Amino acid sequence: MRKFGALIIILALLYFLGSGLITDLKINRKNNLSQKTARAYINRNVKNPEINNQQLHGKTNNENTAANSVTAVIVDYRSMDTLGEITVLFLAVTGVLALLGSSKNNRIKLEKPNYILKISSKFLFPLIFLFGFYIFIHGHLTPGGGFQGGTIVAAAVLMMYFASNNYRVNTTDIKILESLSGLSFIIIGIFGLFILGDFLQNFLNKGIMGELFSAGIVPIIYILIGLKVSAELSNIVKEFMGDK
Amino acid sequence: MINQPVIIILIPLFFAFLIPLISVFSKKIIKIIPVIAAFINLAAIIKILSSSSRILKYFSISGYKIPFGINLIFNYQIGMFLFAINLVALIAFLYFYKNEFNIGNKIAYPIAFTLGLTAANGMILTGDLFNLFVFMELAAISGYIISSHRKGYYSTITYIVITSIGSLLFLLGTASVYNVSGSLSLNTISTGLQGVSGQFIIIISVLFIISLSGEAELIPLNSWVPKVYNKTGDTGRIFFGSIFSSAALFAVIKVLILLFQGSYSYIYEVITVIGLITLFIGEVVAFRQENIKKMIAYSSVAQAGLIIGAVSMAIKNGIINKMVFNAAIFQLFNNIFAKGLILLGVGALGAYHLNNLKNNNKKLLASILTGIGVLSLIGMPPFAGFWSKFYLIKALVLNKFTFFIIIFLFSALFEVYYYMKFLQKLFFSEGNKTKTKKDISFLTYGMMVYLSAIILLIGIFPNSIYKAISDIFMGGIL
Amino acid sequence: MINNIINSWVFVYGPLSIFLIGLYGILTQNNIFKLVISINIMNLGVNLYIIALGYVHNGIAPIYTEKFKMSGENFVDPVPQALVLTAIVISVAITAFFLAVLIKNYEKYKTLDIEKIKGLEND
Repeated sequence: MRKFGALIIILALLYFLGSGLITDLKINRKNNLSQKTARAYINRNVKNPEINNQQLHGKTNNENTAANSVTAVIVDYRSMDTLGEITVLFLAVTGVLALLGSSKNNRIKLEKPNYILKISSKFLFPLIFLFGFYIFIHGHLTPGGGFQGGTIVAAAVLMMYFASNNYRVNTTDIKILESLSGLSFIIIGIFGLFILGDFLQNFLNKGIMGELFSAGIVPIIYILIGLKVSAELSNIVKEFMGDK
Repeated sequence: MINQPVIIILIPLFFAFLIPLISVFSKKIIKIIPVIAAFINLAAIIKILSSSSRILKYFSISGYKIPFGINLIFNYQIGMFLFAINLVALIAFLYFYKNEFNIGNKIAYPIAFTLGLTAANGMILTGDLFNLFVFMELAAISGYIISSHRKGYYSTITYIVITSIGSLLFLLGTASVYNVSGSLSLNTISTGLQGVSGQFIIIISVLFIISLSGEAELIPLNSWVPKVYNKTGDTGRIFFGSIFSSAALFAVIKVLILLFQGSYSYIYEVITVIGLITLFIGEVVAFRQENIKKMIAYSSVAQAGLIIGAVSMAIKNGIINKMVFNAAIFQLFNNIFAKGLILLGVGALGAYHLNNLKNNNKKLLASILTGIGVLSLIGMPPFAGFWSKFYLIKALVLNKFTFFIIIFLFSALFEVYYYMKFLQKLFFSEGNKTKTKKDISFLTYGMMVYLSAIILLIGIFPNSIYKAISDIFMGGIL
Repeated sequence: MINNIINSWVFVYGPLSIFLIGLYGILTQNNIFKLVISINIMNLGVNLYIIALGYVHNGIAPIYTEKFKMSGENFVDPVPQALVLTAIVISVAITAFFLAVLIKNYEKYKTLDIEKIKGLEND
């Protein structure tokens, strides 16, 4: 009875939402970025968003020189959302630690770890670690960034947990790394407040678009975010796998 | 440069990031860090207030102006709201430091409380739709940690499921609004929404109202309220009752006014009906409760319904009726102090069940101070709540909103009855108590006296506070 | 005509149906673990919807390279991608916390049925 009622509600909601939204949304061909803020973000020019045909790659401009537009939006134009997001992740990890840290769980052990995994994980682990670091250091040039790279590093830690029954992660190092990265983010923002007048304003030299050392504070912030996310997700893996 | 409102959000965030670093060296200093954070924040608010104007101004972050960056809105009236919330938070943290530090994990609770204060400040200050979503999620997660108690997890599970549904509906609405209007900043969306069909506006408003009602304790997503209020600790209850609910209600009012700019009057009529239904059902269910914590929870729901109903009644065809609107905002302001005092008193006295209150002469002063909070909430002179309800009734009568007045008076009857029953049993009951709470410390008495003094002061000089807090969205908005 | 139907199904009705399947799961399932999975399915639907609304006809990925170096190229909208990044991280955080609550719940009551837990905790 309950399932039948829920099914009726769901079908009614699908009809209601779909027909109401379809008439006005601009999808596919009707989507034209010319009146939106996205045009200014893509053209890297908030004062005159409609200037086209100006070479951006390989030259410098005075607004934002990160080649990846999504990184420019996340770390430069809407950086307050990124600060809120890492705070949310930080608080959730603290909650998981508080709930699971006190119970003396036995570690989840595998009966006989896979022989191929045991041998290959020894040389795969530094390679995957390096790959994760590459992704978040080059976040402003290629697709990727701090969150993606941090997840790859945490996946490498999970692989090590499965490969051998005696692997442990040291909690004190993780806590210090996490805390210092978060504090550094806020301190960089406060430097922007004192030097240029607005919180998280880009105050370093902007460089040429397309090179590794460009875009001011954008790669620095992404490196800090990458370290923080990898530390936090490794902490979650450690808590769920057990400790004794 | 220290006059920017950003630092009101940054100071508790900085201290919360500092706590794990300090916990490696010494675990005893962690107790005092939330108190320090709230105190410095209060000092920063007073300094920023002294140099702010009464016109709504937009402050940019990362150096990009509207609509290309995230902007915070601030003026003198919003500063007063922030002052009230941070003051009650400071009092709650002092109570936590003195009495409740050992109930849960020693590191997670201070971090959750400090970040909850950040989230409440952020919800009031932000002027951007997606930034509001991020701060609402931060408030929700700190609520999950505060409400999880080793005695039981059913209330936390209900709270998680309901707020997840709410936040996902908010994301659906934000994405649709961005696609049609092209911007995410609250004051430029309405120009992008010109010429859109009525169906689209109805769907958008339904999505936003249902999702925002989850945190603000309105119908339909408020079934978590009695369960969570019943199971948290005392400080957590002060947080939910007076900080989170007031900040979320302020965010709802901000979205309603700045997003739709008063057009599409059918939306506002529906919201008035929702507010009145919430008010009526909340008072009727609270009337039959014997558990005092659940009684206060339902009364909190009803107050939220009253304020939203009055605000949306005041908006018609792009014009705000100033008398009704300012009276509703004044009621919201007084409720922060009144609910904070009631929950502090109930927690300090241990008065959790109506049949379990014993007349205890040593705690007569605490009972009197809790009584001051109750009398202010129900609207007795000479306390603050009397003036806000008086201004509200005067504005409603002068504008001839008869249906609203009937429901309002009917619910007020219920409210007065059950709160008077509570006070009578608090002062005069003769039953025997099975467990007694330890003595109330001098610090707690001091905090209760301070809150009662504020309520009395607002009650004696209502006109200056009313003028200080009126016309909150002035300056080119409507 | 067929083009319009395909457009509306791929871009709007498809992700909304995934969202509503997750909502059906929350309304009818009794096992706490299935509630966690339903919330994840709802998140999947909403993320797909947000990204689908950012597509421009014949657009390419919004990264400036040697080949595409002029401003004014036909790039896809980068703002919904930024919104979805934040939404994914927040959903991971909530799922991790919910699973930790589930583990503590199981240790205390040895059952994962939400009706039984509601009965055990009524006071």
